[in-house]
Amino acid sequence: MRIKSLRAALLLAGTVLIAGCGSDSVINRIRVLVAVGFDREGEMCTGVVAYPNYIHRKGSLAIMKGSGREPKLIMEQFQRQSPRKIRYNKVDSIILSRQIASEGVTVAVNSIERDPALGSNVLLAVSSCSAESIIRSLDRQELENTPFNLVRQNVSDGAVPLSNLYFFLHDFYSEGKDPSMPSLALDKQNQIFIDGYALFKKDRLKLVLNLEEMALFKMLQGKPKIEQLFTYKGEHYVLTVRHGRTRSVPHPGTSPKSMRYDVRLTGSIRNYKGNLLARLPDESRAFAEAIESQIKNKLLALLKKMQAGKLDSLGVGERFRSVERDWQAAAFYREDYPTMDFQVNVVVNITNSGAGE
Amino acid sequence: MNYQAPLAKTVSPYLLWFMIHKSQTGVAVLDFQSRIAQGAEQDSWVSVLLTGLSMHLVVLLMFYVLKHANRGDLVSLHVQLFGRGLGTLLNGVFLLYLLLLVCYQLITYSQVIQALVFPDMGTWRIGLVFLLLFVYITSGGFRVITGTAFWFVLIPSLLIVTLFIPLQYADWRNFLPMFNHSLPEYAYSAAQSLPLYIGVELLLMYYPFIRNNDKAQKWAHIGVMHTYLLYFVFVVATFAYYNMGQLRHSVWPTLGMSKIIQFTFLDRFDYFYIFNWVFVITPPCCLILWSCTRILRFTTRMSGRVSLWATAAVVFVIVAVFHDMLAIDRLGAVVRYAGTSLLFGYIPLLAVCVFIANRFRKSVRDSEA
Repeated sequence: MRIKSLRAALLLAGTVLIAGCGSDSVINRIRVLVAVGFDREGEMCTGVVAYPNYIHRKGSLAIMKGSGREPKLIMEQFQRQSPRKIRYNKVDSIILSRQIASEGVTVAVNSIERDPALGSNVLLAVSSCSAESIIRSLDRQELENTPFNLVRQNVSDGAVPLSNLYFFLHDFYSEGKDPSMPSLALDKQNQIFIDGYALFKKDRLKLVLNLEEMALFKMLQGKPKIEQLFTYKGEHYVLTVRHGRTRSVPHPGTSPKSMRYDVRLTGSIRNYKGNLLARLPDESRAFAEAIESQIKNKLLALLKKMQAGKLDSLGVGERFRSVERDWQAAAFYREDYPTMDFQVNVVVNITNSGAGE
Repeated sequence: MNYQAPLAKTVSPYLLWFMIHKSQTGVAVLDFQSRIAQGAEQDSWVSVLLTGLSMHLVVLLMFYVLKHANRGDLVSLHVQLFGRGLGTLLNGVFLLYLLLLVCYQLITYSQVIQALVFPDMGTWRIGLVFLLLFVYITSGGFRVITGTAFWFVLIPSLLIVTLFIPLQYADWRNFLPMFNHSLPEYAYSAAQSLPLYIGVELLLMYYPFIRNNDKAQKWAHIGVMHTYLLYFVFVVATFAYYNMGQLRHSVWPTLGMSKIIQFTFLDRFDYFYIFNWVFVITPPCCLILWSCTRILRFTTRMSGRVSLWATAAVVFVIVAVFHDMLAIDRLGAVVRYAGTSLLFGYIPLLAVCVFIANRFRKSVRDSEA
């Protein structure tokens, strides 16, 4: 009897204590932030957040704005503004204005990284316009329209390089690679779209690639599923890459050091005369050679552009670190990377050119 | 000599596998990667394996020592070898070490919960909830703890499957160039990985409760092997997922890997992962509490139930008092240092003492004959 009552007392005490663990956070009575944008206004940093409003708007997004010296302080200001508790465990998009990104994101990255509330899948992006306008465009929109879902859809489609907080931190702390993230903008209909890909030198934004360069960047990273415009006999065509594979081979023994990219693409030609290429093998080979030569030139131009900007967003340094036993980051980027010779080999396999005339 | 407890209180020898493995895995698994990487960096997996292999030697020594204990455990061996006074003192030191070990497990896990899930909740509340659970299991006796250990090996093992998701982000070049470090760097990583194997010394207390314990040694070795292979899997997954720079900035790399796991029905899998760690820390904590109770029963006149609650009360007070980060860090350092010294210093020393005592006894017996 004594043991039973002791057990009952223990169970009761445990239940009471465990019940104490659950803070009263009913989902439609708290503000669960989903997207955050930061801008710089003089000395101050302004932050705009979007959260689903389940009480008045049936879950469509609402907006709040605050300002402070640091992003973390803005979050505290939101707490003071809001009649309901603020939670940011579900934030999936963090947008930084180009000004903040150009001045350096170390402070922001440190506070984001140390924040246990954030997952590693969070999207980090820069905005060509103000981050506030990007977030404000979400006002009264559905939850699925956040920048996170927009970028995720394009990443899974193969057009945009895979990017999230994990990748950013991975490259940020890497000795032989610079970080990068998508760049977002607003069109005339106030819709968010991806307008390029932002390349950082450690913590500072240095270069924004346009959409074509972003596709080529993705091609160099490997596994591209993109569309490439090319010309053949004065006409414009589009190559839709269905499968692709890129292999990078460092040559540390040569002088200057060189890096070779072997790109293999398999795809189809859009807007050609039906599936005529299948019946014209010579024409098909000439088509492929034209594409190979044009893509090769574009890839070389992109590599030279990044080299000239002293950007190693593709992780050339990492490739050399993995094969050289006494690799030193400082010496590599001071002496080897600026004079490095890039070679690109492109092989294109055209499977068809459509179904109808 | 092989003393064995009454049959009704013993467990099958194969369960030693789970007991040994479970007593070794605890909160150290959460952050050991950052520590070991400070030495041989991407090659420190070698040190983890070598240290693991060295544990077979420690197990051999423990079995040798225990075979010569009158009542089959460390507490009786201390008295047998060093007399009642010094033996009791050594038992007290061992009890203190065990208390610190269980406090370290509980405080560290409370820290994880506070940092990642309930920042407003006091350590004492979290500590109390878990301590009541541990006391409840421990009051069931050694067989109940063994059963718990068995299931609590199987349940969190399912989490290993989820490593597949972070491994999709793996960069296997992080391991290159291989074997690119000096011997002192490997040694440093090995020294940092030693605390991972703390807990195996609890065998010194529960050995008499293993049925046919003289033939159970192979299960102990399998348990040790299970542990270092598991650590090896975690090290490989971690080094593939993080580069060295990132690892230096990660406080709990094992939990950090779970932050990338996302399902359509579960957005933040990491919260599930954190609470699954209860299954990891419960068996070693219960086993330590049970061992403390055994020591108290042997050295004082307290009953089992009273000594269990007394131990739990002391643990609760320590857990509730420790707030300061520096003090917690110092506690961790003390536990790691004490555990390592015990495994690689005291147990071999004890084996030497037993060997000398046996030789002495044999020579006396021979001279008498």
